Formats: sequence, structure tokens, C-alpha cells
Amino acid sequence: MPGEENEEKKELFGYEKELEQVVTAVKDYLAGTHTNIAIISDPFAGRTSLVDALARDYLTTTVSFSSVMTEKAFISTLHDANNIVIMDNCHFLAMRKIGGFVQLDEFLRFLSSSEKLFVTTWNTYSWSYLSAVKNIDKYFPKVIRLPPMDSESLKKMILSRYDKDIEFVDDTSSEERKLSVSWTCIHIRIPFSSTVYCLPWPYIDLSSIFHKKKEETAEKIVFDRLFRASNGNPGVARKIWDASIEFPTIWVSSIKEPSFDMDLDINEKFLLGIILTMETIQLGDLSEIAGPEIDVEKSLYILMSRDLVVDDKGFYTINYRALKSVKSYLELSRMVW
Amino acid sequence: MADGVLTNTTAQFTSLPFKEIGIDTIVYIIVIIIVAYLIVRVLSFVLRFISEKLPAYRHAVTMLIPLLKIIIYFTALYYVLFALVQPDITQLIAFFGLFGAALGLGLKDLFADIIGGIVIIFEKPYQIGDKITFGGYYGEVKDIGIRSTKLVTPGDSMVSVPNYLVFSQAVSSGNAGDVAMMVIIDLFIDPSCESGKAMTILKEAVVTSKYVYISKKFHYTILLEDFPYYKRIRAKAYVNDLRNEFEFKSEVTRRAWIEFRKAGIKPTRYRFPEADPSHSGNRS
Repeated sequence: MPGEENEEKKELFGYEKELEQVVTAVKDYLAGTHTNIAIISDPFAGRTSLVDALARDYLTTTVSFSSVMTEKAFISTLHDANNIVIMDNCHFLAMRKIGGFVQLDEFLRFLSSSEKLFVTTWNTYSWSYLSAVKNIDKYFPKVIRLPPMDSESLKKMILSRYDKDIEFVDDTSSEERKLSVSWTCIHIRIPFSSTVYCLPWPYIDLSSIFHKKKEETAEKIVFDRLFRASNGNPGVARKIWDASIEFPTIWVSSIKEPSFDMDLDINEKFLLGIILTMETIQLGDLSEIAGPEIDVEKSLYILMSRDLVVDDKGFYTINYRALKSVKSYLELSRMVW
Repeated sequence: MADGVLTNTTAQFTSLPFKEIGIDTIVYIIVIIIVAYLIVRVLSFVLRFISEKLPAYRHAVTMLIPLLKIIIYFTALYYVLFALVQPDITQLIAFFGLFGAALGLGLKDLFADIIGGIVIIFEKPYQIGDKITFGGYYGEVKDIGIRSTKLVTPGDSMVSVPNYLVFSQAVSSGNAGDVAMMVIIDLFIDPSCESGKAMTILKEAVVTSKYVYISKKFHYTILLEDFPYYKRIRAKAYVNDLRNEFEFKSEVTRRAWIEFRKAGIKPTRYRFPEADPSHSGNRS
């Protein structure tokens, strides 16, 4: 199993550049230039690890949200906080319902009149939604997006957790190396614009056919598969890896890119979008957002039966294996943006 | 002079080297027509299938359908023509001259429809999937054919509007090729009620709707206008898929009124006369 002693430090692997940007902004603040920071990432991508690393080196107050905020109590914490305030998972300050923006408005009001530096983290889709609806991007001039990692970075991140060598075994037969075609989403940023557009693109998996000819090693095949299955999301890659490895051996066939039945109606799409943007949400909060028009339990049953959503002790989250498919599907349906 | 030209053209046409038309020629022509029809049907089906898989880009894909129809049918026409005659260039020009004259006299409406269809394809005043008002009808464009444009009205009636009307009538497109479309939602409240609170509620009902699509390009607005017997709160926002236009209106209206009642905001007591334009079906 991975060595636990260096786990926290190693979890940040790959985001050193982003941490440097945060540290620079903090140093600027200490020198007199005040720029609030928003760190944005997909679920599981590791933004909490990034702010934890900052908290280790600077005197900060951390306010971490783990469920939807319905009380203003956190504002009093902010009054007594250090000058550098880390606010983790700020998407829990807003709920997509009438009257659901009260806590966010309170926070933005406090922030507007405060001399403190706010280092905040947000879910990518919550950020886009709240930027469109509440213009929150105007309050956080410094936006740091955690990008997807490439196959090589994922490999370094995963292997840095082990002291012993891992044995890679290619056990796939030629029958398994079939041509597979799927739709994926290429994210394009227009120059001089912060808006990210989704360009649908057919993904043709030729590597499984040709990798033998190229004489690729089992190790490379494993990490290429891991990259495709996780879409470069380090948290998802780590979970897939942990579920696949039989220490110290990992078989190529154990890392699969599953397909999901994504034919959903508007209510199921909406709930799936809410779970994606909130990352984790309880049934009660979901019912409040959905309103009486949607039979939440019935829709959740369908989402869970298709392995898109999992119930983690009363908290509903996106199945990490389905994250890539869910994102593409909801973006193409314009349910999230 | 004109009679001389017509006589000359007719002479050229009658001297066209018509091929001997046997049963095999007829079969050949029938096969060409059937193959062209099948290709059009298959391509339309495939493109529609792909477009449904890519909701945000539905229109870009379906717009290829009428273009391919024109190309395939004209190609088929070419083969049919050359199965019947083997003209040289002078004869071909003469033939088309006479053919054009025949169209002008007897089939001018059909010809105008075809030209209208070509203009629609290239100028794109609307595309398949758009919600438009055309020829006095409002609905979703289901097909742009060689002769007519087919609309499905909100009442689920299929209407065929001749393409030539594009030359003489204005076309109003609610979404101009995009899947997202602006929807206007009006709520009428009693003039004694607090309009600021009502605007906030309507705004939140819009931005939290499951049908809404908001971005820097697709922005929303909430407007207030005072009338003698009521205040009108108007929301302008984009629905994520124009097929959900009426569901969007209905959902926002229902949710807003629930919150209005909780906030003590009452509907206007003014009874709108039937002819009041602000209560007509398709306002803009």
C-alpha cells in the first residue's frame, strides 16, 4: 500500500505551478496588493489539497464547507479570522432555488467591505453558473483553474506513492483491442476570453489496436488507459488505480473505460447537473432544489441504477467512473456550462 | 424578331438527339429516382440521429439535410436527362432555354419554390430546428424541402409553407440557428404591490429554472413597466433547448407565483379584454 507518511505532500503532485500562483498572490497581499483568489476544479481534482498546502506555510483561518449552508453563522467566523482566509468548497453557499442565494450574497457583502484576503475554492460548474447569475467572477480577480494532467504526470503522481516497484502486466487479448468510437468534449478557450466552450469531437480509440505494433510497454498502456478513463482528473485516476491494483501487480485489463446509459429525461438531467455542481448533496437539499415538479427519489433511483450517482451515507455524489461521461453529456445538453 | 428566336429555339429542341427509349431506359430512370430518394432518406435519418446526439449542435448538423437534398436531386435529374438525350452544348443551351420558358409559363410557382428553397439554404433566414414565424404560422422547422418548408405548430399541426414566400414575406426566427432561444415571460401584478420584491423573485425563478441557459452571450433581463391598472414584470431569458420553450414559461410562471403569494404579491384585478395584444400567443 502507499506510504502514508508523505501522503498529504505527495497528493499535491502536479499542481506546483498553481500553488506558486496562490503563494505569489498571498505575498502580493502581504506587500499591500489585495487580490482575492478563486481556485476552480472538477470534483475529485484536489483543490482542497492545494489550499491545505498553503495553510501549512502561512497563518490562515480555514472555513471548510461540506454541505449546503443555510445559516449565516459562518460570517461571525470570518469576523474573527486571520487576515488570510481560506474558504473551501464555496459552492455550498448557494442553492439553485428561489431564495437560495442568501448566504452567498452575505459572503460577497462581507468580502466587499473586508481588508482580508480570501482564498476560495469552487466547483467548476458552480463557478460558471454563479458567474453567469451572480457575477461572482468580479469579486475574485485571480482565477486559478486546476488543469487536467497528462498521462506522464498521472504516472509520476501515482508511482510517487509507492516505495516498491509495481509490476505491470498486459493481459489483454487481440479480441479486446477493438476499435471503439465515442463522443467526447474538447474544451476550447477563445483568446482574450475566460469562457470555455465544449466542442464535440469523435474519439476513436486506435491505440488498443496498434499498441502491440508500436511495442508499447504494459506500463505505458496502463497509464494511457488511466488517462482516458479519468480524463486527466488526478483524483479520479487515483481512485481507479486503487480499485484496480492488486499490489504489487496491475493488469492492463483491470483499467477499463466503462460506458453508461445516458438517455435521461429533463428532470434526471437536472438532478444529475445539481449533483455534479454541488459535488455532494443530501436528499433534503436536493428535494428543496427540485421542488414538487420532480419526483426526486424516483429520479435518483434511475441515476443510481445506471451507476451515474452513488449514495454515500445519505450524501449523493457522481460515481467517479462516470464523471467523464456525465460532464460531456450535460455540457452537450447545456444543462451545465 | 421574338417569333424568329422562339422558332429557332424550338427547332433546336426538336432536333435534340433523343436516345431510343426502351424498357431498360425506363428501368434505369426509375432506379435512379429510387436510389436518389433512398440516399436522401438514409442521409436525413443519419444526420438527424447524429444531431439528436449533439443537442447543442443540432441545427448545424440538420442544416446539411436540405443542401444534400438539392445536390442529390439535381444529380439525379442530370442522369435522367442524359439517359434520354445526348445533346451537344448548343442543343443543351437551347433545351434549357425552352425548359426555362416552360417553367416560366406553366410551372412558375414550382420553379419559384425551388429557387426559394435554394435561397433559404444558402442565405439561412432560418434552419431546420428553428422556431419561426413564416407565412403567418409559428412553429418549429421540421424540414426544408425542394418545394416547401414544413413547420410543426405548438398545437402539433404540420404546416407546409411554400418556399417562394421567402421572397415576399418577412421571416421571424426566435433562435437564428442556435438551440437556445430567448423566451419572454410576463407576469401582471397589482399596482399596489412592491415591484422590487416581485422582480427579485421572478429573477430567481428564471435563473434557477431547469430549462434556463445563461452565459455572457445568452444573458437574461428582468424589466418592470407600469400600466394604469397593473404592473408588468417581464423576464427575458434563454431556454437551453427551444423544444422546451413552453415548459420553461410554465415552470417559471408557476414557481414565481408560489413565491409571489408567500410574499403577499397579488395578481392584477384588471380583466384583460380578449383583443389585448399583450395577451396574444406569440409576443416578442
